[in-house]
Amino acid sequence: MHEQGLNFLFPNDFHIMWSLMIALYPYITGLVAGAFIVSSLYHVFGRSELKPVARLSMVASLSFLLVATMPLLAHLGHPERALNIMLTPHFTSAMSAFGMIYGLYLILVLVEIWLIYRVEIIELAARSRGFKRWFFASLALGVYDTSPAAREVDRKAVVVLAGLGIPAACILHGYVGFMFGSVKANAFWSTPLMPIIFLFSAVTSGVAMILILYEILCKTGGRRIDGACVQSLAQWLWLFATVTVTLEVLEIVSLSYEQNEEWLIVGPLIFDKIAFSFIGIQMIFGSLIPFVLLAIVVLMRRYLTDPMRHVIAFVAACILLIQVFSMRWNVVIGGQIFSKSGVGFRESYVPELFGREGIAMALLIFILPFVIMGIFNRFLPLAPNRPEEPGGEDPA
Amino acid sequence: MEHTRHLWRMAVLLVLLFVLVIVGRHFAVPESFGAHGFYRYDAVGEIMAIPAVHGGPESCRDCHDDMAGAKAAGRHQGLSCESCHAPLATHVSDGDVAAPMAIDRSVTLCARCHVPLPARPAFVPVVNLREHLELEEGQPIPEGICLECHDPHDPQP
Amino acid sequence: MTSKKNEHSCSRREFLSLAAKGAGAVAVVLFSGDLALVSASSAVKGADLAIGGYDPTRHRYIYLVDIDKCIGCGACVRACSHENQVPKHFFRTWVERYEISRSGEVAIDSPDGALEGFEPRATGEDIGKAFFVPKLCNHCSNTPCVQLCPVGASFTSPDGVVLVDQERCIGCSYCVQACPYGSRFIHPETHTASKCTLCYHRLTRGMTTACVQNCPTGARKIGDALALGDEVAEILATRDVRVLKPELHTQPNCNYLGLSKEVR
Repeated sequence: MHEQGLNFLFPNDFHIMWSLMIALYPYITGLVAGAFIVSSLYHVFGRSELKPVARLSMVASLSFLLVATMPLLAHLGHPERALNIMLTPHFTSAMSAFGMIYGLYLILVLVEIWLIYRVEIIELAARSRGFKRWFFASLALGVYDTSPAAREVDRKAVVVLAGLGIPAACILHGYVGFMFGSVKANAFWSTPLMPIIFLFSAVTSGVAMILILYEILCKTGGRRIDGACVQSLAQWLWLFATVTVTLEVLEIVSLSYEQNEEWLIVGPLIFDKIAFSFIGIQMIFGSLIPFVLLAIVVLMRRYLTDPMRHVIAFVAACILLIQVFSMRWNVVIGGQIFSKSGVGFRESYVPELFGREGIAMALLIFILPFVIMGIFNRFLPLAPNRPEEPGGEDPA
Repeated sequence: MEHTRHLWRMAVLLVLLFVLVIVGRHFAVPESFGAHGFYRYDAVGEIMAIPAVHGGPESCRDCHDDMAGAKAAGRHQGLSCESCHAPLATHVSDGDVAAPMAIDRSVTLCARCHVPLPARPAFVPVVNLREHLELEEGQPIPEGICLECHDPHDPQP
Repeated sequence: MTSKKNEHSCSRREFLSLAAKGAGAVAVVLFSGDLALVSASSAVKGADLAIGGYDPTRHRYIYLVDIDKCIGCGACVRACSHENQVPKHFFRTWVERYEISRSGEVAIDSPDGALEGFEPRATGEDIGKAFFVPKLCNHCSNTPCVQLCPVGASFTSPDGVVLVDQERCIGCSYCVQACPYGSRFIHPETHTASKCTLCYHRLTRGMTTACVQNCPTGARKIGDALALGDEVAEILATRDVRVLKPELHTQPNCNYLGLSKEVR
């Protein structure tokens, strides 16, 4: 029908409902989940070469988590009723999972960070005066035990939380994917692969973000970049990115191979309507180039000097961050650009610059976690605890 | 055992938080929620209470019996008065006339049903107005021309 | 020996504290979840659900559209927009026009939802068949929009009408995404989900819906499956009746006579 020049939209389908904010939300929760996985790779799976980024990734996870509700509140028709999702969550709806998962995961991350930084918090409480002293004493919950035995208790607790946190992080982001994948009304979204695609691309974005942050923090803090750590991050990044893109391509190939009715609208969608964003940015620029770059880092490590490796990995990570955002954009916006009639496309969506759901708001929300991390770092350092400092071996 | 004191304090804090959430929830969720299904049953009553805007042909008959009678025998007997005029609520409020009833005398009104369209079923009498009026090319269609020959309440033929 | 015992009891304590937190979390989930689920599946007590003399458990509304009778006048769309103050460029109901050429090319349009009816359109094609298709919310029995509402604002009343609680809706638009028929929209002023309510405020007063009342040809009909000798129920039981997108198994309660395969 599309070839005939037919372009019919159901009358209510002229309006796009889910905006830039809804593309931003899974991006941010993806970074939350991905950063947490990096931290768990160290705490639970014993990847000791990732120690330099263990604390950083926990705090990054928390910082993005604190900001995660903002795009949703900016989007809701009635943000003042947002608590309804926690008061009367309708459990047949994937979206209702948000209330429970977000709350529980937030508590988990806060407790884990508290355990990791407990010794520093106590030291800060001892060193400070006035309001700061009161603040850190409260955080320490009035317990000033920094003995090796207490530290061991902390360490074991962190392992448990980090372990519990992996399925929690998976659900936190997996439910978003399921939210899209379970909408049978939408030809582009409806697939069982959606939660897995979202999850793997989330971890990809998280690892990429940690790699980038680590290199930047080392450079600005005058510390040497740990080559083994970057190599490990690059390897994980390559693995997750490859699986992500494989799944994304598989979804499309599946639809086109089976020649379902969905393909009649999805085909023109990705090859015509959003071709630049999907083929150009998500696939060629966003996936192919980093794949090659990271392949160089992983397979040709012998031939690379440290600075070369760090630069190539950094560039690949930056491109992958763009790829993951473009994937969110293509799914959210791309899935709404065609009508439920299956034979019509809307005008392309261009987000407003200012306004509740505009580009400025998106940038503000995205920058905020870095600000939070900066403030955090002023009191509790993101860099790993060095063994020669008083305190010795600690949870991270 | 002393080395876990901080964990116990954290546990107490979290339990307090959960209790607060459960108690708070009890007060925040409306009472009628869940009476029939997972929704606030009072909403059903609220929707039922919305005032009706259309009255239906019977409501027009209360005051306009003569008009209704003329229509009852004609070819427009199946039409609701309000579909060509306007809803009852625009004309009557609390049993009294609030404003004059809208009367649309335009050709557009008649054309909505009687302009020839391929999708229009055969039982509808359609009229190519230009041919019907024997108008020249470019001659405009006069305002309200249909009513000059046809009584909308009893159109003949 | 003693220090080892202490260590064990330390880790036991620590495990218990974590387990307590976990149990607490589960308790919260169960508490709120069970409460809701139990209520949702509780037996319907007819007397308790009656409002002002109307007992919703004694009705089950069904809608019928006869495509062969629709003349595309748009009176239904206008009636609905007046009755329910439907905002401009949003639609609780609309009419689509299909013109299918003999070579199988389909042309579909719905100018402003057919609020002002249809104008003749220039088509060079030799038209084989053409018809109008009125559309509205199908009030599905297995509705995805109620299933996907995260806060219980979208619901099905005891008499089978899918409604939206305007006080609880948070305006997340998930239900709009979920509806395969494009029946829903977010009201630009109330910022909540809005759609055809089968003129619930009229049905419950013994009136009929605005669209059915103003349809000049009887193309739209509403019936009550629980009423003896109901005309619509009789048609559903005896004639070839179709629904839109049956493959999605939403079990629509809006049925069509004369539905051709090209209808989206």
